[in-house]
Amino acid sequence: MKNGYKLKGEFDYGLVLITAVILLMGLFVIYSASYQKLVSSNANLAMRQVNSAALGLVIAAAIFRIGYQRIIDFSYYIFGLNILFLVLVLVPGIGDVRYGARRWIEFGSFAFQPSEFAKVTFIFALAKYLGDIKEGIAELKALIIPFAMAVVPILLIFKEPDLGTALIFIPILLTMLLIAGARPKYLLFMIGAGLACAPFLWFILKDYQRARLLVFLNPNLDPLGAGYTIIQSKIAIGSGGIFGKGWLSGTQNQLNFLPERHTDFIFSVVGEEWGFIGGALLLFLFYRFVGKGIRIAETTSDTYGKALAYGITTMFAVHVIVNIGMVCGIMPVVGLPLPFVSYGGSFLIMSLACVGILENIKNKRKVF
Amino acid sequence: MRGRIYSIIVDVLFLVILAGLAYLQILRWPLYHDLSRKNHIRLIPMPGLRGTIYDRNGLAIVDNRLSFDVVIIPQEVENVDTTYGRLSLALGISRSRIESIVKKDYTAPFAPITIAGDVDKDLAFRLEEKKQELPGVLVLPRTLRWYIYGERTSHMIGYLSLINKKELERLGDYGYSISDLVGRDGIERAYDKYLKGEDGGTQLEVDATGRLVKILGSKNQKKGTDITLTVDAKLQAYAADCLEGVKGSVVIMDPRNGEILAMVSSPSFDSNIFVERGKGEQAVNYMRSGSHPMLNRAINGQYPAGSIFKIIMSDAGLETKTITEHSTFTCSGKFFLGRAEFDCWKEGGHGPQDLRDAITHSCNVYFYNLGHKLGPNVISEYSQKFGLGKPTGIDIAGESAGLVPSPAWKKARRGQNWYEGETINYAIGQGDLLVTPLQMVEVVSVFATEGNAPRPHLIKKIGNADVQVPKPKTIPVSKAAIGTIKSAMVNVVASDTGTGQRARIEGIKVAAKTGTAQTPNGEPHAWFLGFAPAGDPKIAFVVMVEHGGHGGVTAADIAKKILDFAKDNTEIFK
Repeated sequence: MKNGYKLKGEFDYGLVLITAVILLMGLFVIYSASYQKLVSSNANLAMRQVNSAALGLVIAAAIFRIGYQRIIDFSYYIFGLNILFLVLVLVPGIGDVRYGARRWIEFGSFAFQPSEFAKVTFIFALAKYLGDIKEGIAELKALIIPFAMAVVPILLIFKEPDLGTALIFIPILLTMLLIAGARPKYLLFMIGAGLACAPFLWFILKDYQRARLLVFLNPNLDPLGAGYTIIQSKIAIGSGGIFGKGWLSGTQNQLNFLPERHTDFIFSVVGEEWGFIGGALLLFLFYRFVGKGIRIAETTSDTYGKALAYGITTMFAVHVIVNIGMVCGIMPVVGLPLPFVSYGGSFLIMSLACVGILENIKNKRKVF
Repeated sequence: MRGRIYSIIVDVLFLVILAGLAYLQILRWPLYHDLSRKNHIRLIPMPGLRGTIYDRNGLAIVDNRLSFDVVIIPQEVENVDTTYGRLSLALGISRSRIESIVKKDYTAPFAPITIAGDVDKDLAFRLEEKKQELPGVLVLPRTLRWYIYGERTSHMIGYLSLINKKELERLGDYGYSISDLVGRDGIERAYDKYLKGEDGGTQLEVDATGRLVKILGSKNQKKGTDITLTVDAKLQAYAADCLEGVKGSVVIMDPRNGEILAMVSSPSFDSNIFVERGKGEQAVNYMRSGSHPMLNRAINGQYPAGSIFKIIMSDAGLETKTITEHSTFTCSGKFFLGRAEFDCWKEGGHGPQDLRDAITHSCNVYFYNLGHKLGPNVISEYSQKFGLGKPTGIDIAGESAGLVPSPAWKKARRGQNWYEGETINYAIGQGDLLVTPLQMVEVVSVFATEGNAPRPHLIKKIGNADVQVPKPKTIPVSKAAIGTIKSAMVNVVASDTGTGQRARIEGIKVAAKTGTAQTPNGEPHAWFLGFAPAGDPKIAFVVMVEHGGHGGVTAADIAKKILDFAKDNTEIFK
């Protein structure tokens, strides 16, 4: 369609296809990662992930139908509600403690993590702000509100504690501000100020969080304790070689030597069983996914949609880079799941909903 | 422009990750491949330890002991013929048996297969010394649950057995796996989630001969939480010995707070049987035995109450003002209701009896008269007031509710009308009325404390934390009525005509009531319940002997022995 364009009905089939392939790979990997669990306690995590995916798909379709603009109108309220949930999570008796952290709220048999949804509701709220203020963002004082919007969930999520999820708000905030036209020197000043505060942060970190940072610098510092996971993860990935050991055949994986391998460390199972070929393929799919996100962001003429698309894309990019970087020992261990691959209902549902939003932005990109 | 910069940053970051991946998987592959090569990595599982169970004085009742398993690591066996041959000789099991075990339990070349569990220590050491000659054969230490008091605490403590499929579905998410032993019955079941430890393991790098090169990683096993019981282990053991050879139970409780000091059911079983290998047959025998050793008679056995029920009748009579403590009925040995005749246990009768006399002598005729005046509904009401007909809520499972009959119950349940004669039987604790020994210890506590019914419980501490116990329920009874009955219960033991005089203890005033409950077949059941010291009760007790004859003899003798022991050998009366 040279020189012409459709007003409506544009749909990025490629994005959906990439998502589907990654999701499918994820199910196979979860099956393998939790195979010992399946054998020993009959817990079929892959099947549960399929259920979450189905729910995520319904929600993605619903969001696509509703349209992101309508959600933008309510985004401050939704964000406010989400903050309320983040507060509730911290209330003993409401928040459910698992693995030593208070992250879940339970409704009967259904449990969800408000922090997962906070990422998206924050992106929506910030997109509304940036769309409303337009060029005004160049002013220094215009940065106060976005900064405050980020600090509140960061502090609440940090308290859970969930360091990885708390920190991801920072690159999302910076990217969305930069793209919206904030002056780079102000942003650099913010980063500088943040780094200057970092030494103080050290004192409020939990012991195990400090240990993880030290161990990142030198995993052999504590090979049986905090460094254990990362050493095991590197052995698993490294021993996978080019071709991998084959599905369900990773010794490190099947020997139960990788903790959390069905959630945050799932990529080590990919690396061990599918080798460099499988790992690089997955990485490439994520790269294409992010590229499509950027493309959607760049081609929309709506400021809200653009900010939204950049926020979502950044969130995915950071998840992928930090997660894989972490399991390969390139980055500190900060517990961020790998999109569409890690086991976990809230995150999968949220991720699929985000694909629905991206598609919706693409769909409406030239309506304005 | 800014979008372009963003794209470039993303590109660079993805490239860095790809490079990292390539470095690990291509450049460093030889190193990591070496580390993970199956035959150089060995996994030594370390099952989690269960928490220790202590008695109230800190004596261990249940602990863990070290045992040794002989295992084979298939990939390291160099010569199957010699290895199996030698193992067969050393362990005294046939070669074909070893082969079939290996075939059945094989999961992976590096995964250990247990050939013999809990082997003799000397054998374990001999095999360990010869390990160079037998590559692939290992002796692994393991801890086993150890029930120090054996049969004497089994009903209270319970036992362990392999988790079943249904439990696994329910508990899988809580870290249970298919090889886990879970608590059955008693404390082991009720507090399983605290007692259960966490499995760990060590991953070793070994050289070609199986020698350790270095430890690659290890996850420490964790011991479960220790638990302290309210039970006095010495008293428990002694009480169990007193019941040897008879069927019955003993419950001893602190009436002030519901702490169970001893709880015995006889015959018993040995919890250790379920832990040790090759004792499965014995376990099955327990389950099938006609004397039902697995039944916890103290909480699950339901019996007619017999004359111990008279203390509840007395309270009902006084509180409804049907009688006063001075009301007198004359016992001629018989009570007539129409043409039906009801006997007193004493032929020829007790003569004129007031309430105190009637309790002291356990006169049936007195209570026939009282019951006739009260009627079945009042008797039921008072039975329920004292907690009969429903479980006491003790912190272990399997408790029976017993049964409190009433005309309404009979109509609803059997579609029949209530006969007046049933009321007469009811008045002396016979008929459809069923109680458990544990319920009766709670009943007698109400008399001991003049109106408080504590919640019976076995647990005192979980880890270092004291367990919150519900406050004793206050039963609405008149102190005057209870006081009258208490003084009569003292007479039961102290008076020379009392039915419980065999339970006299030097230096301690005991208040008690005997019971002889008729059964359709065989000798009557013998009951003896009470509290001591009468003025300031520190223990409430119930002794129940199935088909034991007269409560005043069999059961009272056992109670006396236990009380004497408690006085001399425990802190309870101090």
